[in-house]
Amino acid sequence: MCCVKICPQQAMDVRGYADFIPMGASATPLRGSEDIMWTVKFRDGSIKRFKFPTRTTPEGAADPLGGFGTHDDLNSQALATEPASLGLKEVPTKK
Amino acid sequence: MANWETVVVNTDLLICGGGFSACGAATEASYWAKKKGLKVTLVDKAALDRSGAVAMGLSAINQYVGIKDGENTAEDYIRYVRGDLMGISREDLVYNIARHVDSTVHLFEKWGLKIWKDEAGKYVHEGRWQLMINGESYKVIIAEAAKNAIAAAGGEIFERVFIVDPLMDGNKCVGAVGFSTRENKFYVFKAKAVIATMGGAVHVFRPRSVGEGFGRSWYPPFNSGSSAYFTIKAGAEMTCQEVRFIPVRFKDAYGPVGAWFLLFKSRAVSATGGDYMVVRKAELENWKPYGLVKPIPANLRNYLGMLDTELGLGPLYMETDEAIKNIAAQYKDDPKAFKKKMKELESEAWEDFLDMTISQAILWAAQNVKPEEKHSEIAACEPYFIGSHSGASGAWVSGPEDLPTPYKWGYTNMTTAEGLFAAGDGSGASSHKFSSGSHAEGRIAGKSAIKYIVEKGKEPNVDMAEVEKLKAKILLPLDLWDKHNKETTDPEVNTNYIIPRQFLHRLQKIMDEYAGGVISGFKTSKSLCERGLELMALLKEDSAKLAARDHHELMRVWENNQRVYQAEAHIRSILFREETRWPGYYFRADKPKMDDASWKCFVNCQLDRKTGEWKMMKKDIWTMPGV
Repeated sequence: MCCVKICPQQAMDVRGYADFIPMGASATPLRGSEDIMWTVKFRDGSIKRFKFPTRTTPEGAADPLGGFGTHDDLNSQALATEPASLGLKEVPTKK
Repeated sequence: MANWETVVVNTDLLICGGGFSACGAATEASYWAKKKGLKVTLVDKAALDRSGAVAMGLSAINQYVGIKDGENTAEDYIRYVRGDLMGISREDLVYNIARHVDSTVHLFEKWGLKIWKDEAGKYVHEGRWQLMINGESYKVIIAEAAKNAIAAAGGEIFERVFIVDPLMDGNKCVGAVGFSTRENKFYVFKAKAVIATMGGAVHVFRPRSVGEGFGRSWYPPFNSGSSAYFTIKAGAEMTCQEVRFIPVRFKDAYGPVGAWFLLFKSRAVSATGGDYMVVRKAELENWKPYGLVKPIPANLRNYLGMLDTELGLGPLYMETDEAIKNIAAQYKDDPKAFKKKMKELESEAWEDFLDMTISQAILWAAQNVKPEEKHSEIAACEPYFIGSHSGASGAWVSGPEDLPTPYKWGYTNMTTAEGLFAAGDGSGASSHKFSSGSHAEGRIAGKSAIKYIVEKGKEPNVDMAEVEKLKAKILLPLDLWDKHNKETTDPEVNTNYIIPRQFLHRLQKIMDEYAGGVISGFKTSKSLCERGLELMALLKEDSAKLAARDHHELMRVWENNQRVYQAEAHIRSILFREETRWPGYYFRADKPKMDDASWKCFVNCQLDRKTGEWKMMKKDIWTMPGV
């Protein structure tokens, strides 16, 4: 189904697995850059449509450090963006 | 031998895998590598955007501790995992992941993942630890950050390259070999440190659907035990190889049940109408103290349902219509609000499937199921190996340096093979890390591996004569096909080789019938395990006769070989642990009770690289002081 969702031409259609799914239904995606619309067709002919957001940032824009402060201490327990990305003053520990 | 080009790649850190833990490792390691002038190389069997267990998407983040808002502590998470795994967990590792996971989730949000928020701007919880998300593009977003991090540090990504074996220099891992799934290229990666993050294993046991739906499984079908095989072959100590996971899911298409149980507060009942969690509550006494903890351990919830199924009281149903009516009842006096709420619930219910298990949406549509109108069937799936979820299988890794743990022999998340690190489904006894925790553990391993390289990294000493032998072994299935496929009118029927599909059927038959798969009601015994191992030995011998007609089948051959090692470690560990501790995962019929006096311990195993002999070990449980 991943292929169906990312096909840039919206050119793929699928049916259910033939060994356990009755015939006549389909789920067809239409992707945008921020959301995805689904058309679900039932065996009895009824149709439902749904639209869900997929992301809040422009495609390709993810900044690995997320804009959080970083540090240089390779020996500390703090990962690159910590403790800022934890929202804490320091990484919790146990003595 | 097939005439394939040998491509040698030199790097400092090699990350094998492309899922959440691999992306976490790449993101973190690249930051430190850039500072230290080191190179990071990531190798993925598929394409990074849509690879790994979260390829299709997810509808929830299952691990968020909420430390900054005082919701929970990392110690609370230890208690949760300890209870759910019946006392068997590496509390140092669980703590380490729990104290870092929130920062991973905060990064996800910055990267563009839409996490549901309430009117006060707080995350919407599905359960105590779970957050609701619009997660259709979850993997795409996480992969994007990893790709950007690697690019900024001058690293390299190889897609559609299938890693098979580790390269070893004594007990030290110095790289890996694999092959392109598209071109005639055999890859040799030489590295100062290696991280094994290649996921867990599916299709070791026979799935419930064996026709076109053979590939329909709850856990992604392309996860074939690459991590376990890699670390076992490196001679690393493995842990919890008996702790498989069996999820109860919507039947056959394996749609998630978390939102139904936790968010919609749905009940599950047997066909006679009884809620098996209520009717069979007394059974939990037999498994105390863990039977009495809240939430009730996943395997015990499974077990109570299995008891009904065994007595012929199925099908089991999720009471979706009842749950939705209960929620909507709060709005019964306001028709407009009622209509709006019903529409909202319907959308949430369908998104739950469409984000992550589209086949389940198609199955519902094909059966004309509208969840607000009628209930839907659930069932226990076949067993999987997924140390990141409620299973625990994986490599035995070193604990965090700052904690008073006895499990420390070097760098955090390093296996007992030097320079080889593991995370996600690759590391064991640290269950319930799920997507976010796997990413956090990948970050931990990424930083730790760079620290190892800075302090101890040496130019890898790779024996190229050994590499040539590995190349001949790995490509042999192509030669066997070329040599013999014209001998019969149907090339799939041949006495000189076995094709990967039939080999897989043979493996699954052994596991299903002897190691407690679906067909044997998840039950096994000493005698069944021993007979299973006899048949497994013959299967392993025949693995030298696997044939492949193309790149794709060559990948299938090696996926099967990886599964065999996972399978053998599993049977040997079940055999060694002479008790039943997780009755809803597997039941040792000859040892039907939990035996804390003898078996409240880890079961570890190790393959001797020289002799091929397995060594089985007990390891003491350490609990975090004061928790």
